[in-house]
Amino acid sequence: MTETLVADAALGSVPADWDADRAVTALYTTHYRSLVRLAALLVRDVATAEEVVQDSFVAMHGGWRRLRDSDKALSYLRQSVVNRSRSVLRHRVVVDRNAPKPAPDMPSAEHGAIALLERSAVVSALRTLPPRQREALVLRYYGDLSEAQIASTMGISRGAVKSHTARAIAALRSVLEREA
Amino acid sequence: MTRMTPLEQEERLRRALRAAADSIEPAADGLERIRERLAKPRPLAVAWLMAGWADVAQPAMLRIEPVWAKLADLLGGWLRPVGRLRVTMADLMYPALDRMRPVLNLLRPRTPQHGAASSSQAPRYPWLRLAAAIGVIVVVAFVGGFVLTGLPHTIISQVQQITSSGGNGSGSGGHAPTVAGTGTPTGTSGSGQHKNGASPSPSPSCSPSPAKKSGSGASPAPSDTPAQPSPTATPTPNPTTASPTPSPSPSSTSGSISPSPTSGQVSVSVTALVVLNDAVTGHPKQASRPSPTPTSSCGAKAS
Repeated sequence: MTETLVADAALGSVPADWDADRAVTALYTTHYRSLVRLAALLVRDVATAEEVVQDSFVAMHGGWRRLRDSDKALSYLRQSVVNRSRSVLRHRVVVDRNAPKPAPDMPSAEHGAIALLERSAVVSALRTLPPRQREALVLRYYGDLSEAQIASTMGISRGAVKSHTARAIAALRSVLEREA
Repeated sequence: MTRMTPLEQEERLRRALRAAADSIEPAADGLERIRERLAKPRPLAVAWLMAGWADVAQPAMLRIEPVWAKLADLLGGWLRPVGRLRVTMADLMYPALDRMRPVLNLLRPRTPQHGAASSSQAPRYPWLRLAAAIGVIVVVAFVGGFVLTGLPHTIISQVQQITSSGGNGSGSGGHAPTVAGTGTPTGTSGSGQHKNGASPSPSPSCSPSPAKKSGSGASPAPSDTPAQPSPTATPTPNPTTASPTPSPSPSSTSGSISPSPTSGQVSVSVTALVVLNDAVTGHPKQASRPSPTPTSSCGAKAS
């Protein structure tokens, strides 16, 4: 089974009379894993990423009458995942600000998950980017989305997508060159 | 160090992201958890709303759609902005409902969820938000009711009445003897006396005076008159009349040294003190007599 963030041709012809449960099952089978990975790259935590994607599926189930199309549904899911990931990051900032700091020698609970993700220097450099730039890069180079799709997913214009992507790549390059 | 081309850099980024993502393996029970969430009962109000939307509003809109299309054909471009507005409203409404879903989820009964993230994101006191919202509504309703009703007007008018009565009491010190009905503003008489070179009459009006003999124009003394008339309290003949008319009380404009207070409030308070003193000492008859000798004689004259 192919797992991708772009619409699958086989699922493109989902009949309109499919009920929401069948649509959720079909989209789950095809896209759940890639959506979780996308969310994990954004929120840097697998458990939270799963929560985010499951919430998005629940929301998609509620709006299936309106969507009635796997392409629209996948677009909705991507957008929902990105928006919810933003919310998680915002919430995390507030929590981190108010939470007591752990002792220096005591690793935090999500330290293991983050360390798993940051094996690569590129990914750790990605972490230093602002959220919008990180979203643009992940959607572009992990999701293989077009500029229009990224713009639709992030809720910004195509020009803004270009700008975010260019700035992100420049920042990434400078970080990697500095480390090298 | 060789500088990478943009294409190489993009390729490196792509590979790194793929490698990082491929190491992530979601739990296998994702679909069950989604179904579990879908099976949770919705709050009653939301369920009614969604049922109403799905069973009434949406079919109605679907039936209206052909009529709308025909109307649009008939009216041409006139209805196009309205139709666009309708679509825009729908597009706005659905994301808004989607955004509200976390709030609505708070109202749902919670079941224990697995995952550290869910426990860290769950609000500790969900009822506190509800209580705060209810409190805000109550306060707003109370303040609104307070402002909209005539209560502030009533309070303001009462305060104005109190202040105006207080101002009269303090400002009309010269009118204190008008209780006896003979009070006239003494400023004119005082000035007239000044003009004639006569000394103003700072004394209480019931002091022994020629007016007593004439029996006209004598006014009863205020109750707060001193027991001993002042030595400077000489009755002044009124230049306009043949008989000397004692002024009821000294006024501040006359410039005389006044031994007696001119304020009505002060007189009332002094009377109250005297009554209180008599009541404490146990002389009720004396308590009814507010002032010593000169006043009693004055009262006799007045009667």
